[in-house]
Amino acid sequence: MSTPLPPPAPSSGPSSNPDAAAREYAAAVRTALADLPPDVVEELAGGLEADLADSAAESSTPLRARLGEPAAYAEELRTAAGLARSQPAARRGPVAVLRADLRQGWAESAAAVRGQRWWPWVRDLAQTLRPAWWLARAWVVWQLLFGDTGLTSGVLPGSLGGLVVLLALALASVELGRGRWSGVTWTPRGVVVANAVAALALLPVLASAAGPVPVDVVDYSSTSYPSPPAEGVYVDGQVVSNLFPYDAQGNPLTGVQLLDDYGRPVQVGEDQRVDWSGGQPRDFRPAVDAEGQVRWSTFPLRVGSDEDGGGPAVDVPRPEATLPALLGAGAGEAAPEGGPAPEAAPVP
Amino acid sequence: MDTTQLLKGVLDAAVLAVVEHEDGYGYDVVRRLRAAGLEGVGDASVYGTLRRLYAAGALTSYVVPSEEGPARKYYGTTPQGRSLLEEQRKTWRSFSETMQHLLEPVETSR
Repeated sequence: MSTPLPPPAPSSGPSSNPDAAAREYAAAVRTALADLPPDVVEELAGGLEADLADSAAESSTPLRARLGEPAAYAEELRTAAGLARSQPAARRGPVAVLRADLRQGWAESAAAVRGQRWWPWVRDLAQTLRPAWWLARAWVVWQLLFGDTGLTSGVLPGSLGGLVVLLALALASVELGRGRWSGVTWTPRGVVVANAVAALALLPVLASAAGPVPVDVVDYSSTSYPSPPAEGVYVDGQVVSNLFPYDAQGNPLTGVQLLDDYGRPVQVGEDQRVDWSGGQPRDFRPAVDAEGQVRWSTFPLRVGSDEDGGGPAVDVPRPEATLPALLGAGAGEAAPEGGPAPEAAPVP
Repeated sequence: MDTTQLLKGVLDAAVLAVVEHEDGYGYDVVRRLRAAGLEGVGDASVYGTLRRLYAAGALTSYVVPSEEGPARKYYGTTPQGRSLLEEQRKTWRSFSETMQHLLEPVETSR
C-alpha cells in the first residue's frame, strides 16, 4: 500500500495483461456514461485507461473483482464529479429523456428566478400568504369531493354537515402546512401532487361554484342532438323553400294563401326564402295584401324579374307544369287506401 | 463508524492536499491517499473529485504521453485551489475541534 510515488508505472505487473484489462474496463465505463455529451465523457474518463492499467498492474485480482461492475464505477465517477446521477430510464425511452429535460429546464428557470432582485420580496410575500393557501386548497378539495352533493351550495356549505366537512379539511390542511414548516424538510410526493391539483383546480372550481348560471341550463344550446325547428316547412326532414299549389284539374295555381290547422300562416323559414332554380340564388319577394301586410304565406313565392332582384315579381319554374286532374273534380273524395275504386264515388 | 460516509465530506480537501506540492495523475492520487491512511477511498470517487475540482478551476490538468500504454492525465493545484484548500483547512480545524470536544468522554472533560 505504501508504494512510492514515481509516476512511471511498472510495465510488468502481476496481471497477465494489465493494459488490455484496463482498456476493456474503461470501455465499459465509457459505455455506461454514454448518455452524457462526448466532451463530458472525455472529461470524466480521460486518462482512465492509464489509471486502470496502473491499478491492474498492482494486483493479480481482476479489475472487476476489485472495482466492482463498470456501471457502478461510472456512477461513482459521475457522482463524485458533481454530475447528476444517470437516470436509470434515460436510456430507455423518449419520455424519460423528456422528463430529464423538463427537470433540468425547471432547475435552470428556478435558478434564474432566484437570481432576480425582486425574488426575496416575492418569496417573503408568498410565505406570508401560505396560511391563506392552506385554507384555499382545503376549500378546493372540498368542492372537488362534494361539489355535486348536498354538502355544498355554490361557494358555501349547503348544510351543517358540509360546514363540518369543510372545517375538518381546513384543519387538516393547516396542520399539514404547519407540520412541514416546523423542521420536517421532506415533502411526501402525495402532498406535492395534491397541492398541484388544488392549484390547478382553484380557478375552474371557483368559476363553476360561484358562476351565476347553473351549468345544466347553459349546456342545451351546445348539445348536438337535433333541436325542433323554430320555424319553416319541412318535408321528410328536409327544409322547404317554396310550395307549388295545383287545382283539382291539375293546373298550376298562383297566389294561394295557406293557413295551418290553428289558423297560422304557413311560411318557409326566413333563411330559406331564396330561389335556387336559376344559376344565381335569388331572394323571394313576398305577396302583399290589400291592407299592405306582407304575406309570406302566399305560394308559390316569386322573385324579382331583374338580375338584382328588382323589377316586377315573376314566377319561378315549377317542378311539374301540370298534375293529373282529380276525380270528382274535388277534394276529399279519394277512397281509403286499398279501398274500392274511386269510380264508385258519387258525383253531384 | 463507516469512514466512507465521513470521507465524502472531506474528499475535496484530501485530494487538494495530496497534489498541493506535487502534481499527480489519477491513480497516483489514489495511491497517495491510501498511503496516507484513507484505505477505503474509492478509485472512481477520487477520479470524479479530480474532474470536479478541475472543472471548478481549483486544479490544472495536462496530459503526459507514455511510451508504452495510454497517456496519463496529471493534475496540479491552481492559486484558486490553494485558497480553497486553505479555507477547508480552517473549516476542518474548527470542525474537528468541535467534534473532539463533543466526543470526549464526560468524566475527563470535567
